[in-house]
Amino acid sequence: MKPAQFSYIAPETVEEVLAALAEHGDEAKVLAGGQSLVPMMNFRLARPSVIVDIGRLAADESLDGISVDEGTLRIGARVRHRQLEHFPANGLGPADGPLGSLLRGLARWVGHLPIRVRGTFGGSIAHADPAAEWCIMAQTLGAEMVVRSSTRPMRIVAAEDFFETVFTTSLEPEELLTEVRLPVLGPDWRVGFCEFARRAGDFAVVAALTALRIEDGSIVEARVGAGGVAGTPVRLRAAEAALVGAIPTPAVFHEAGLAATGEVDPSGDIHGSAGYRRDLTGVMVRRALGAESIPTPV
Amino acid sequence: MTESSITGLLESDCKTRLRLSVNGTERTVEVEPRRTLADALRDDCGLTGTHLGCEHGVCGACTVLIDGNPVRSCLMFAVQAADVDIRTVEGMASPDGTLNPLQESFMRHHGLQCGFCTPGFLLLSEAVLAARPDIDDAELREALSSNLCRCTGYQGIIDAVRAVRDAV
Amino acid sequence: MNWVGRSLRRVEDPALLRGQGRFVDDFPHRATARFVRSPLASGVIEDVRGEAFTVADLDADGVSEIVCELRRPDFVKVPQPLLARGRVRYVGEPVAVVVGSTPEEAEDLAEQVELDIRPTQPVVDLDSALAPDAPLLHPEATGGNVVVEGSFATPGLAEALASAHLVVDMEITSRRQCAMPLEGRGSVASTNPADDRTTLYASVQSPHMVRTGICDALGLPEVDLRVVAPDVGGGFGQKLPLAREDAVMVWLSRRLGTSVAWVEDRAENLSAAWHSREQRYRVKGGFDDEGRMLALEADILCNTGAWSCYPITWGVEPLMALGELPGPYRLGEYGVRSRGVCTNTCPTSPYRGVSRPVLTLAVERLMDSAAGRLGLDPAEIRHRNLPEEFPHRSPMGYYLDEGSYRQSLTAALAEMDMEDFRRRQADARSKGGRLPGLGISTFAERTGYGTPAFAARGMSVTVGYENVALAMDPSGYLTLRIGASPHGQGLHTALTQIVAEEVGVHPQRVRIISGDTDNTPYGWGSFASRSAVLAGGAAQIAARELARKIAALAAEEMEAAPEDILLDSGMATVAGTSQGRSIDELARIAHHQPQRMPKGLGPGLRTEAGYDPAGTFSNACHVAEVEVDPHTGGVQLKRFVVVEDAGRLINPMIVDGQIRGGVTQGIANALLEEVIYDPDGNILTTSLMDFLPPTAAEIPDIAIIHLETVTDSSITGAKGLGEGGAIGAPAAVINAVNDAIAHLGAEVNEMPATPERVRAAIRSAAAAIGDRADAAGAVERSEAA
Ligand SMILES: Cc1cc2nc3c(=O)[nH]c(=O)nc-3n(C[C@H](O)[C@H](O)[C@H](O)COP(=O)(O)OP(=O)(O)OC[C@H]3O[C@@H](n4cnc5c(N)ncnc54)[C@H](O)[C@@H]3O)c2cc1C
Ligand code: FES
Ligand code: FES
Repeated sequence: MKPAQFSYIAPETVEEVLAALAEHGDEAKVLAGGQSLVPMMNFRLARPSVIVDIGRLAADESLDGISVDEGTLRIGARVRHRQLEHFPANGLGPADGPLGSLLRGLARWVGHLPIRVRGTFGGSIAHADPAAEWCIMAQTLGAEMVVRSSTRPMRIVAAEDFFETVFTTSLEPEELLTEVRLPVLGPDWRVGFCEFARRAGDFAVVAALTALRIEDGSIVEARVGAGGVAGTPVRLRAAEAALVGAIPTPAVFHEAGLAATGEVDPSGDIHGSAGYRRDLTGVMVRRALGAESIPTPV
Repeated sequence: MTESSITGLLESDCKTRLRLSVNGTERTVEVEPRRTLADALRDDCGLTGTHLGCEHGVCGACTVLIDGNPVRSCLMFAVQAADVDIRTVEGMASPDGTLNPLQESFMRHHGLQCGFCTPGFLLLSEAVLAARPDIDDAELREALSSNLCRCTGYQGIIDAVRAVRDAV
Repeated sequence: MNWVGRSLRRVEDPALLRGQGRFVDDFPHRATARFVRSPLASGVIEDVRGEAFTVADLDADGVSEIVCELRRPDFVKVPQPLLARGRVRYVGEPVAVVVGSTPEEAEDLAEQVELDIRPTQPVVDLDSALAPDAPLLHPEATGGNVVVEGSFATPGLAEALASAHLVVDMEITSRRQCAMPLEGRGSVASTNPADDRTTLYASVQSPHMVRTGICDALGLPEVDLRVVAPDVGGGFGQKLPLAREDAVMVWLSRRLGTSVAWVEDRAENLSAAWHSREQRYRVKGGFDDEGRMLALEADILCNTGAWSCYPITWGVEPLMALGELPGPYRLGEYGVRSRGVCTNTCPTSPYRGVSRPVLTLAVERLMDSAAGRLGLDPAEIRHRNLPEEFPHRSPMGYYLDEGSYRQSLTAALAEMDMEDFRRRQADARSKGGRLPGLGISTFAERTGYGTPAFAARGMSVTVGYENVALAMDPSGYLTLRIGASPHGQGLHTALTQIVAEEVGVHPQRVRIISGDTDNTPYGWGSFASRSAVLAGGAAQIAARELARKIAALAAEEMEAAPEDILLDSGMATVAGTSQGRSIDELARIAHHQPQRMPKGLGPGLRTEAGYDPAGTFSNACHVAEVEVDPHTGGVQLKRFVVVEDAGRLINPMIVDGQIRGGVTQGIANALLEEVIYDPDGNILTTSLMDFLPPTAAEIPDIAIIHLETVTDSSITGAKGLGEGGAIGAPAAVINAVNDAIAHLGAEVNEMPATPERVRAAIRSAAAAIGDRADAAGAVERSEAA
């Protein structure tokens, strides 16, 4: 289980990365933390002929930073899962709130410690596993991906246009994901998450993420998303509709769960049949909605 | 063969000369870009204490410390490790062979049987305790769930690490 | 000084802890081999193009097939070529082999080999293999794909079932498993041109047997092959049978005149090393109104995969299931048919416990089911059926020696605090949410059996005995050479304790040499919970004899009677006096002043011994507490208690490690691990993301209580226990899951009881009641409320 041959380049500037990507086109692959790409290379399921390692780039605010700017949180593509896990409480200042706890809480669900030490936020987004926590978050909260290349002006792609299908995004071969932007969630938001996996650290069979904005005791805005139920993470609009305008009670969450089950159309694999995944979706949504805080994996 | 630098494009079928710092010693290896760090340590440095149990990131038998952090060496290429501090199981005991407290504790608590997973668990545990000397039992179990052992049922491993934590 | 019975630290550990273990892949070699494996489950090989060796090259060198058989009329004997000849029969079957200078290059070369295989219809599961028009796997199996069929019945079976107060009829299924040692298989072969001898370092459990198997296939005299099992990174049965690949490595090394390595990667290990335990049992138990089992009838099917395994054969699973299904229970009538069925899947071999994890599940499910219907407590029904008098004769005619079957059950339940549990369970059920369940499994583990037991199977290669050679050197240190070969279980430590105790020296003075056919007497290795009993027994006999010689010399030196000599703490003393000689000094005399040795003893201090007992039964009771999430079907282990009786414990720490490791594999079998094929015979579980060994987060701490029933069936008093953990745990876990969901009318009789299966059982129970107001629906709403 050894990778096929490839040439390797580790540029020191983003411009060189972009140039290398432009030069080698779909022969090339960006190497970030390697926690998804290298297993696939070892299995020879991926066989890029050029690896462009972004690990040697000089530190760069856009790629490496976590910052808040006018209601938007920016997470650099090279930020490692581990940094998010240990991001200090109130690290985002007044904007920390529900979003900060979501980031810290979700990070712990991403694989295991050694995976989180190397794996990057941007790598997870670019890899686009439909059950990946960060992808679910990006889809549910409506993230925007900042994408650069040497041949086109920078573009900003909405999550729903970014994730296309399993392991496939709208990134062109010569493009580099540099940053992901998320809307800051004010204190009136309540976030929840629930994941079902077979073992500690495994990818979810199904996971759901919810965010509710509550005003005067009733839900005025709802975002519900799930992973493991389609080729990409999905927004669950029927579940959202069941929530908006209602008072958050277990019965309402139960209804939202039923709506979620009704609206997904998963396909099955060895980790769960279509029917099982559909059932789980409702359970995960219901539990995420009812969660007091982001649960820990073990 | 290119010289000891990883600038520019390293051709797929050319070997690059690299200096790796392993357990405080500089070693020079000549490797293709595709050689994993695990294979470079084992085959090029002769440090066979780092084991391969899956080569896809799940088992942790290949765990080494990179700048103090536990990392799957099967998921890194040697060319990525040119200027980092690598620690392997061979660097744990003192030069005269005296076991370090974790190794000693694994022995006392029967934290190993066949020993194939052991180097990975030792390095993982060392990093976990260094970062969190007061880690609680639940989090310790979670952290140790990073690696697989097929022989012990984990209890001996957990007991061994707990004992070292509690001794501090 | 007593050394036996103490939890001494293991002599194996320091090197392993320093990273100085020597596993197969650590041995230097010039070249790396890679096998080109079949991508199809069934097909005709039309052409192999590329730089590769195929069976034609083996044929040209006169290499023959691997052959082994059970001498019984229903056994189908199929010789196995070292590389596929003419047809491929499973995905992963080795078709050709390439050699490169590095592992990467070998993989490149293997990719370049083009296999032109015309697909034919595969048979993958039991039902399709048994269908009347099923394609036949092997021309030798003319009557269908059944390759071994045993049956047995006591005369009164039908009547006992007909007149039983209650007949419980159920189907138990075990999905396919893989032993998956953390180190895969592998070997390094090198040939010395000076003497034309080949050395094979191989990760195996039985180096002598491997040598015999390879030499028979290659037509080599055994003296020309040295097989060495260095540190072995776990085996659990998967490294017991002869691997075709190992034989090919010897051939390659001789053909190429170089050293060449084959190191299996994980995908190969999961798809092309041996699988196990794909079994289905239809069992009927007849009970009287007090819950006594009167009769047991079973029809058993085992999917053997595509080929028989050397030397145990593909009869191992079906015939063990047939023989041992009744377990320890007293029952009058027993009838069984058990068939091995070959299919286009990876061949199977013994895996820790062989069929017993499944047959124990079958009988323990029967017990629980009968208890439920008769309104009995699960513990009570077992008490009524477990033996009290020993030896207890099983319906098949085995004799279970003295054990603590009932006591272990009582002790386990006391540890669990049943009353408290039932209170918590009732409480949880009324509240909704997670459902606690508790499951019991009691069983007998047949261990440490020698030649007679294996000869009864009619094996063409009858395994069984163990031999050792013990010598004290002039410095007073001892070397014990054993034919057995450990694979990580701490055998060396246990043997040093036995020898040290007999000879009266410190265990640090004893070295064990194992796993090297050049340096050890012929023997079998580690399997069937036998090495501590057999190698331990032989070591004790040898050490006693050596002690007798030392005592005789001491007596001569000190002019005392040999009976009066005590050997302890490195000294030979004359009882009741202050007279003594150090054993070191006596060792010198024996070697360097042989004229001073008593007549007939000298020179030197050496003994040899063998041990070949009939066998002994350990027993144990496992109790598992689980929590079932009725909405996801997820199962969490909360507690696990083992009460184990393995006779006298040589090193309790090592024993506990064996139990915990075995239980962990049993839990994995019960809940997580499953090898999955699609209907075309493609294997879908070739990574550890798909085949799911448990992590520390899925395994609870396991409490162990020891009972020690003295046995004279084993000269050390030790019974084996290497497999017990794996045998008992699945039944305890599955019974616990069923206990948790029984009030919903749901039942799961399949392992692994995956979340989806548990959830489906709850769902179909709900559907059977036909109304969402049933219990499962109520639980659902209770969470919402
Ligand atoms: C055992 C194990 C368990 C895991 N469990 C989980 C889990 O539970 N949840 C989860 O979410 N993940 C899990 N992962 C995957 C892990 O999170 C990865 O880190 C992540 O998916 C990829 O990030 P990376 O930085 O390692 O990317 P890489 O592996 O380096 O790259 C992944 C892909 O993204 C592309 N890419 C990377 N960065 C960029 C960029 N900036 N611009 C354009 N393309 C880019 C690469 O070319 C490649 O195609 C697991 C991994 C392992 C080995
Ligand atoms: S070998 Fe690297 S994680 Fe298994
Ligand atoms: S001790 Fe064998 S795998 Fe852990």
